[in-house]
Amino acid sequence: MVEVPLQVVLNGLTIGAIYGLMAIGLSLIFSVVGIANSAHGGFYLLGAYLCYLFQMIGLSVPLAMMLAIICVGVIGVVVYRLTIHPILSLHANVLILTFLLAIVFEQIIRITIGPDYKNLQPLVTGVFESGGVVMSNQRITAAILSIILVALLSQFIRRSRLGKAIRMTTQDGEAAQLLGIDVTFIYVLTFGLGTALTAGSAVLAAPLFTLYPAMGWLPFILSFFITISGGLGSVAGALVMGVIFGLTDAFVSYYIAPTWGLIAAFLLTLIVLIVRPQGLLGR
Amino acid sequence: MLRLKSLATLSSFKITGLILIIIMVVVPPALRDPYLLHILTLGSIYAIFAMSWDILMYTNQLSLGHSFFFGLAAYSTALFNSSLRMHPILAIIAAVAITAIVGLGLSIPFFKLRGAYYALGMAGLAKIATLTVTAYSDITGGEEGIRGITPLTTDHVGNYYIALATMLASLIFLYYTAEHSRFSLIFRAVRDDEVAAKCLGIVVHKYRLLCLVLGSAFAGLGGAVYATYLTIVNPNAMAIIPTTALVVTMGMVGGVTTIIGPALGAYLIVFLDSFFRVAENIRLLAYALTATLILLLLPGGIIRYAIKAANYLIREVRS
Repeated sequence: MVEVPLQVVLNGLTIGAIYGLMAIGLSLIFSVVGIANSAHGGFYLLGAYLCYLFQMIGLSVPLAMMLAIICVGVIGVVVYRLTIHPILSLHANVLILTFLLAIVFEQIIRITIGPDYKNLQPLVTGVFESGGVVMSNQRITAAILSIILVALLSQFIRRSRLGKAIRMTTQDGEAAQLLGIDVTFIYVLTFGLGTALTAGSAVLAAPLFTLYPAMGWLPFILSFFITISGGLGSVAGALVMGVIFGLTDAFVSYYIAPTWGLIAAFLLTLIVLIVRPQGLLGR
Repeated sequence: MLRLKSLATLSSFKITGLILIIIMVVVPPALRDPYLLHILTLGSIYAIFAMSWDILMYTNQLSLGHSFFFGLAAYSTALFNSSLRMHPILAIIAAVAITAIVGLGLSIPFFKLRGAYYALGMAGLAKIATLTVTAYSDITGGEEGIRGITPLTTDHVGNYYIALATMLASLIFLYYTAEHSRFSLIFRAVRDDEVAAKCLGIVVHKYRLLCLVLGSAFAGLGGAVYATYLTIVNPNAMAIIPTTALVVTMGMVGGVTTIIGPALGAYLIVFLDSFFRVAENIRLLAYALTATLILLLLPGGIIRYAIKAANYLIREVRS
């Protein structure tokens, strides 16, 4: 059987691209604003559930996705201004504060929408089948869109004026301020952008799984690992590490047992971190 | 970083501590309320755990996987007791020894990492361990966990005193090691600037190792007592969410690098958690919002404000 490894490779590649996108929202905030946003999973959760709500009131699937992404970006900005910005210099406090915010989001969803499992309508339906490889169209679309979004983001940061301001602020906040860059605005913008990207990964990935109030924790932990072991602030590192993670998970799940897939993938990221303490593509 | 001693004159600090200890020893058993005793027993166990997390912070080791040690000891105690038929006290001692040795061994790969990388490395360890424990269901019982560990005593008051005594012994030991021994100044030097400390001839590695071994051993003590008290262990005891999250919240709310702060934080969080149980549906929401408010309004932790308040009161009483 030649087809089986191909299927496993494709499974790993597609899920890896989605993991990469999940991690980039976190990575962006981590490297620019300099804080570990533990509410990452909470924003992921909000993205998926808002999309679900918009679909429920009868909006078309693409419109619901766009609206959910924008809403989460706005919520991110508001949350940042109200809670995180006042204690920005206390890193450990921010870590715990955002963690508590994730619990708040989860509980609000649980109380208002309910604890039972929900399904999100996918962007495209149907199954792709060719040469013994079977894969849902949503999975392929999600992977391709993830890569496009990541490419757009890195071009935005590299080319645009705003992107240059973001990079300047990352390197030296005080010097950026001296040059007339509104650092607070950059922080707010980056936080909104990061949370919007997280919501983007949520609306793409959530139709592949089910929706429930605690769904955000695994993506949060995954993203943290992929970000750190890929190299902080490295967009390419996050994507490469996401794909490595996805491939390891897929192969071990197929050849040994599904329960060992995540264990092996986490172990691999830990080994990467210990061998290269600055991360895979970090400087 | 503020030191407790500089905030309080020693005598008023000691007076407050003694009064608190006397209240803790006398009042709860006299009330004969099993639920209150249960909450305070859990509070004492989590206080040991929170202090063990805090001792790591003395040398800048933010651990986001501290539940690994807690869960490791809880599972070791359970396995020693149920499979090897060890007496619970022996099982606790063996579990603490194992956690300390594991902590020592972990220093080899982990001391390469610093800051956020160290924190995340620890979190990864806890995640892998939790997944492994869940996967090896024939030994560890998987999601169900291990039931029927022999308790030290079934008496509420007995359990309360065991936990309280263990907590006080740990508190005194860790507090004096961290604040009043010859290590305290070294810890401060390492915490403020590792490079400068190295230049002064301090073998930084040695003191980080000391903190890691103490931190893992006392987390193990907490976990082992937890297992014998609840007589059941499941993967949640080792999981980042909720257990690490809980201990980090306790430490931050109480006040980092004060030892006493995280212990108070542990009681406060356990108490808040059960207080909101009256409205089960909004329990977690209310608890998270309260803790958020404490973090936003009292960023240094409650202990620093509590000491200020106590000093003010004592000054008023004396004058």
